[in-house]
Amino acid sequence: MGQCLELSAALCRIGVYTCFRTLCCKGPPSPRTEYDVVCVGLTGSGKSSLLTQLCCESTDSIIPTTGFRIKAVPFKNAILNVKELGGADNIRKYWSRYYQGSQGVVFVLDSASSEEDLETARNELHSALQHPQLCTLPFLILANHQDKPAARSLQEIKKYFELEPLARGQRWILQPCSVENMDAVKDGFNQFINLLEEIDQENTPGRL
Amino acid sequence: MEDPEVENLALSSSSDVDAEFDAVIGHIEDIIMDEEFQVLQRHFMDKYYLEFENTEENKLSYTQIFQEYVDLLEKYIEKQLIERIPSFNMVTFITSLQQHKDEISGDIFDMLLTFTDFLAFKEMFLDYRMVLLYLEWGYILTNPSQVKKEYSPESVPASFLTELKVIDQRGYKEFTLEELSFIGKHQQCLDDLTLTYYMKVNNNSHTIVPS
Repeated sequence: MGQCLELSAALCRIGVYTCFRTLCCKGPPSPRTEYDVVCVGLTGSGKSSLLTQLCCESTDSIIPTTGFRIKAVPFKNAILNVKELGGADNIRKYWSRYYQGSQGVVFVLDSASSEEDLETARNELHSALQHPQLCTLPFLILANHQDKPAARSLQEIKKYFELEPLARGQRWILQPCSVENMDAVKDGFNQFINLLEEIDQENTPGRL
Repeated sequence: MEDPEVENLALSSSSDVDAEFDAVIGHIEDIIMDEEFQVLQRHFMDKYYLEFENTEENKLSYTQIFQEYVDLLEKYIEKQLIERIPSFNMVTFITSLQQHKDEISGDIFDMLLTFTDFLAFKEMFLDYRMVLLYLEWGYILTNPSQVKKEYSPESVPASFLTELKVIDQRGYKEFTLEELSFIGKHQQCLDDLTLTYYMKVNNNSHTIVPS
């Protein structure tokens, strides 16, 4: 089983690079580092919209994701190969099948959702934080839909989701945002990439 | 600091590794060209190709199919390699693959990629789906990757299509490289579907593409 992981990791680097070039290349190959991350969150939280906007594509035709997507999202210092999973009730049970090989987690939540949904989101976030394949990874938590009047503030979210006590010892970033304010989104992601780079350097001792 | 003997040892062992790598690639070529593998792969593709759609979003079922594909075909290749090279180690090989990736011919590399890269695997199915679709319409489609979004022969560049009935009349001497490569890859499909096509068109009288 362990062999398979190395196998996948080794060829995935070439593979995703090749595919990225074939599918989205608009210029010469870039030397940017690539990181594999998984993106989860309840349905309607805005995962597909945010990722699509980050790729400068139109969000007009977005409908709820019922499967999963793989998108290579370019940033200044890195490329994130994001595996985005649908968040409807019947799909969430499959999330853990897609965790393998991830180096980071992006969790998107709807800051303006109902109490009930917020509770469900909290439970899902906690499960993810504690999942054996994800508990050592950095988390980017996007408190989306901040543009709505019912949106909870950053402080309220932090408190409600019990991030400080629960995610102690883990690296996480909580970023309020909305599709109207992509700068905040990019900011969150850039901080996240810094975390990923730090961890990368930690894991390769002796490298300058 | 450098001991010439040590250096020579290092050089010779690195060319040993290269020779070993080349040998494995040679064997892989033989294995995938062999009919047993072709049949195995074709049956697998036939079982699932209709499941795949040309959309950015992937169905959850694709993941299960991917897993099944790896379990079936990658293991088959590994088993065959071990029979030919008892000391073969898949992990060592995959590592050398990264270093030699520029030297391997497109087809072999593409094939190996489908075992670890989901997107390459999906492309393979989408290509196959297009190929079969066009065969049903009476055409050989030599560039499926270019036309995945097109579903009617009229909208595809003429250079990508060859009519089956033309192939039949022309004979192998006049085929282009693309057509030959296509026929090589899809011989079985061609035989099956040419029959169906001709039976439809010629009211049950048919000619068979020479093999």
